[in-house]
Amino acid sequence: MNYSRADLVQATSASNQMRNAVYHLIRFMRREKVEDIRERLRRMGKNIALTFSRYWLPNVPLTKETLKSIVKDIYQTIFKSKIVPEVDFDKKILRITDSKCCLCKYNYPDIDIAGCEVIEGLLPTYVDILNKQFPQRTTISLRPSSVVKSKAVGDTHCLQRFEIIVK
Amino acid sequence: MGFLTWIIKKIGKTIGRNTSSLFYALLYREIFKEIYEITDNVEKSIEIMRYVGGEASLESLKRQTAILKFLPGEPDRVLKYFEVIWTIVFGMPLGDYEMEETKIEGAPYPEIRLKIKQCPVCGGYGSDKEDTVRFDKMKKDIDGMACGFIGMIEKVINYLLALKNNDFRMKIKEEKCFAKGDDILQFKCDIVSLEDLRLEIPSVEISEDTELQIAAYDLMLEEGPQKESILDKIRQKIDLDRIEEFIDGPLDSVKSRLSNLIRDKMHMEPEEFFDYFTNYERDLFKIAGYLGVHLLNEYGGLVEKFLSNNTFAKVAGYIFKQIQETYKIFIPLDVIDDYHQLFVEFLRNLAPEEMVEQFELLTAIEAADLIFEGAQGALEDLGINFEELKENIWEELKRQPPPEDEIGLAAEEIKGKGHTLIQIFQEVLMLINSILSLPVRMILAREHESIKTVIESTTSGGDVLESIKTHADKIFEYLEEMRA
Repeated sequence: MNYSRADLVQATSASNQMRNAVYHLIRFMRREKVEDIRERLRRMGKNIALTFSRYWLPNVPLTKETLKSIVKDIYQTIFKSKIVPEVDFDKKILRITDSKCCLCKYNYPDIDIAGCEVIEGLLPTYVDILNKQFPQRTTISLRPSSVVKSKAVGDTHCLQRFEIIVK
Repeated sequence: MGFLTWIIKKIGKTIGRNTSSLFYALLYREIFKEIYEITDNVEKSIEIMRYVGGEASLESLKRQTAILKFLPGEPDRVLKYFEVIWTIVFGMPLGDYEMEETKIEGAPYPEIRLKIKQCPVCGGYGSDKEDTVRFDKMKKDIDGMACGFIGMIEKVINYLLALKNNDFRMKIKEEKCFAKGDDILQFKCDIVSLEDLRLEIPSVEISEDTELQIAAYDLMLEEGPQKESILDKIRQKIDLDRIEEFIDGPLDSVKSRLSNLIRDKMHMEPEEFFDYFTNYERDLFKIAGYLGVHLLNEYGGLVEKFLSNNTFAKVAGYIFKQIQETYKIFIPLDVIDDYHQLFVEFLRNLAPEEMVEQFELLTAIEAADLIFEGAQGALEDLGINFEELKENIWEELKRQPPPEDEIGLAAEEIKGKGHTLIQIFQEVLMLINSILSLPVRMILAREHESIKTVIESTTSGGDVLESIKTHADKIFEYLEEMRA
């Protein structure tokens, strides 16, 4: 009997080839003169979050206090990555430092878009779904901002930035 | 699965970066969807996904060339390591699978089909609304959802074949796909010569659309390095397949080599060859001893040269007789018996059953005596006249004439003195022999048991390998936990 998606949540796979494949997809898109590559990568992340969240979701409501731990939990479960999140509610910014980003490892001189743009699309969608699951009086959501640093473009680590929206 | 295969799989999984398998599958799906959206053509999307998968794999392969060189370099043998390749590419266990070979007349290699029971990229596909590409509506004769995955695997195998300067390449086609509604994932592997592959290219009309197809052929036709280092040459001789074979069954490995040798040189099956010696089992031992000495002499004819001197021949003859008579004192019976058993095991499935039974009936001592008898025959050929020799070397010494300076003494007195001295010397030596036999037997028995224990535990799935596997498994688990 084939795997179900629920089986696949807890199993682990080596991400090397898929990480490389993302950059070959970017090259293919460039060759096809696709202009909105960044948006497409984020859309991919959004779709992944929509499906993944049906099989796993943090069991904690999202609040100012739980934001950091929930983000850590999402990265740990999906990307098997230990990250350092920094939350600044005054500036409404969430900065995530990932030294072992599953989508960026090598520097590609011909590439100017980081693979972790996928995560820029994934995390805000995941947070939105969590908010729907556990509605709160004050809703905290995220909006993609930018990949500030990435190993793919020659940095030593990846730094993803998100805009925090409190309603 | 062999021990080395297991360890390579574990290392491969631990070294690589891991993600949730569902993230892997969904990222794969999204890449395909993007390609499909750009091309708006299923067949072209499959072709591009294959190409993307192949390129992604090639990138990793170029970084891991040293490890790959340990895999065998023949297309049919490399498929024995499909499980390792799958683990390297995907990082998930392959699970149950079957390999089916179909012989094709005139072709050097069979057509191979791999039937895989679980596919991680198709797992659960179709159950969510984001699964927008309908693979079940696709034509049956084109690849399915695992096309990118096939691109990766095909690239690993062909890169390896190129690396080993093999003149064949493998073309893999996805015949059955879960996402298409089949109940298994089935790959058809065609092994084609480089020559045939080169002939296929001109038939492809070069256009913008076929640009990727041409590039894919370029990758397939990639040739291995022209210069080989000494390490490469060693790796060609001792690839993983051969090491594994030896660790898993050293006796089987030797058996298979002997079988091939008999088939190649004698043009007959091993059983047929051994059948000639049925009812002549005792003679076979003699032949072994006889050939053993002659083989020793093959190295520059040293034995023959040494024995051409009459005195040396006599000394060697006496030493041989001494060994023949005393080996039972020095070598414990259990050790001889173990080697006899090993020989019987070696012949099992190689020689006729009746012959193996006859060998089992012979005692170990009888067998050893027959080997000595054969060796004696060979030594006779090479110059030792055993008929001339006395019962032992002391009798020979007794025959020597008295030295010249002693001529003049009474003949009887000399004879009596000499005889007594020789008898004392002989008894002293026999005493030393007996005293030494005990520690020698102990040393031999201990060494034999140590080697036997190690071999038994490494070759018959014994406790040592199992224990190594258990503890190594835990180390890999902890490493994964630390990395997570």
